[in-house]
Amino acid sequence: MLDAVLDVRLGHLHLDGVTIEAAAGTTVAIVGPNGAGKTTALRVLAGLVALERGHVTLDGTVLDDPAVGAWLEPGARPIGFVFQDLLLFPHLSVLENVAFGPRSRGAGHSRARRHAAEWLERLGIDGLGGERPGALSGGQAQRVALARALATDPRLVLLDEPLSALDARTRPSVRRDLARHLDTFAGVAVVVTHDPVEAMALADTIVVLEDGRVTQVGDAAELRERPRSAYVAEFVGVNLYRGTADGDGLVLANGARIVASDRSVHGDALAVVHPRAVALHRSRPDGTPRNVWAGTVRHVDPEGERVRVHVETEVPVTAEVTASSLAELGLREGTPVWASVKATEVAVFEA
Amino acid sequence: MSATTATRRREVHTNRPPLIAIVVAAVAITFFAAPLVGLLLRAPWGSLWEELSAPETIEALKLSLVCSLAAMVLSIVFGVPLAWVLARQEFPGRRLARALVTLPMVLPPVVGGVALFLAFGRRGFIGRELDDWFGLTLPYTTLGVIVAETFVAMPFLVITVEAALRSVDRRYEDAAMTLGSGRIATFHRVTLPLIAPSLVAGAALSWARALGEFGATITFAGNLPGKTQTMPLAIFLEFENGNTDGAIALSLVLVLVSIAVLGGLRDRWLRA
Repeated sequence: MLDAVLDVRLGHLHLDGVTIEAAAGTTVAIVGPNGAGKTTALRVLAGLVALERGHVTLDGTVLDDPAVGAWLEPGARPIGFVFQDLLLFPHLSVLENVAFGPRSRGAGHSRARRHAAEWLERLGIDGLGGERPGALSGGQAQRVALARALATDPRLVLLDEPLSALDARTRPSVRRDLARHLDTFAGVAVVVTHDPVEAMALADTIVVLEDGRVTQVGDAAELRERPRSAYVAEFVGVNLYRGTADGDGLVLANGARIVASDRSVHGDALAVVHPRAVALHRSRPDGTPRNVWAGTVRHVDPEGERVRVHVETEVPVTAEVTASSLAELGLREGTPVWASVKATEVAVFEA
Repeated sequence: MSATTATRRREVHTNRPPLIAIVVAAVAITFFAAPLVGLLLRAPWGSLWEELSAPETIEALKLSLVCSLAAMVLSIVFGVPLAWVLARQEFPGRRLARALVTLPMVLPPVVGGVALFLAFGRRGFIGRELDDWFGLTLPYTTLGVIVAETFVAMPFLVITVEAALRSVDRRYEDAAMTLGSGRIATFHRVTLPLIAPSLVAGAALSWARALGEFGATITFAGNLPGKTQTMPLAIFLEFENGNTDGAIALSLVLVLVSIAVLGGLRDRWLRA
């Protein structure tokens, strides 16, 4: 069980009461834009940065609490850290890299090596013990880094962008692999990522960090249904609008109106529109949709069979259409287009 | 790929230095090569072995090796922690400390010798204490030679190692710390191996500097055969006394050593 409230200033960054809670056997993802403090949060949990206020408690043991003067050095904490770029020691063999932790924590030479060999076997890389890190593929190096972090038998494992060093081709298989290992891990795992797929694949809970503050905590479904910030909406791929609800929908700051069939909310509110609920037309659509906006195509992002089309209107909106309907409509950057959304597809909730 | 190569080649072609620069460069290279050639032309090849196997020569050579290696070891023992502190520890006067460390590199060695004498000589403010407490005398002793050589040689090691410590990726040290390694163990097991090439280069440079040391040594430690007369001093003496053959023979040994050091460092310093 991890229970942490992080408060620390480092240069321009201020981690302002960042709360991270997780039960043993679960994985938390910390997501957020660049510079939000994700890596710093991990470094605080590891003891590479000391808190100014707040606390870090793991399974009832206080790792850091300036109020009572409690502090454990990184090496005395039951943690494992998988660094961005992995940082395998280039002058040591794979086996020596993995044995480094047990050795540093007091195991004898041969016991440390035996323990390391067990971890290599568990991760399916027992043939690589004699290699230098420079000779490994990205996926292999990733497993070695995980083995090195887990070889000290930590109760908290911290992973900083663990898959960022991999090319797009190998990432999915390594991600599945990592998800499997984290599933069987008995302690708490905290993963920093900026990749939505990674966060949703690996984590039970997602903590959104923006500019040093937690802006939202929840599982992937909660974030998708009720994003609390533009970043979260972008992260989970939905349209999010902030404005004032007046019983007939949402009025944005620029005066544009989004009509919603849900009339229960009044005052400051957020509206969510899923991109698949947005229809695109080359001429003004007839029929029932209550929301119809004219605009132009800003840009087009193909994502496999689906294509995300960003449309500039008084209500900027992203639509998700099939590749064939994109071709049918003949949409390109700058094409004039009409976007429509049914009032029943607009979810409104209090801000 | 091939297009890039072609472009690059054309660039090199148009950027070629003018003829005048090439001529001046040739003169400069001749200037460096001529003394070496002179040494080789005048070398007493027939009596070389005789010159080198003279007891005084062997003695000077032995003394030089012992003192320069001792100076190198001292430079490492004191220089590595010094470089570590200069690279990693913020403290008031750090710039001053760094200037102080580099000073022997630009200070005329003779001046260094005089200054060492005033501090560590029998009447010097530190030398007096050394004498009182430990009965230790530095001037005109082999120990004095080692001190003088360390004074001029250590800066080369400190500068090289400090630069390496600044450029090494410190997150490797973070990784070692999270794995349970203490500060000293991390430095020993991770940092030093990462900067090993620079440490070797710095040690070689400081050794070569110590081996060639003349000014500070003769001023601080004198010129006593078997005690403080190292190779450069012996060469100077032979030359002064008109024994040019002896001076050349000894010089050739030092030339050989210098070339060996350069060869060892070629990857680091000579690769364009």
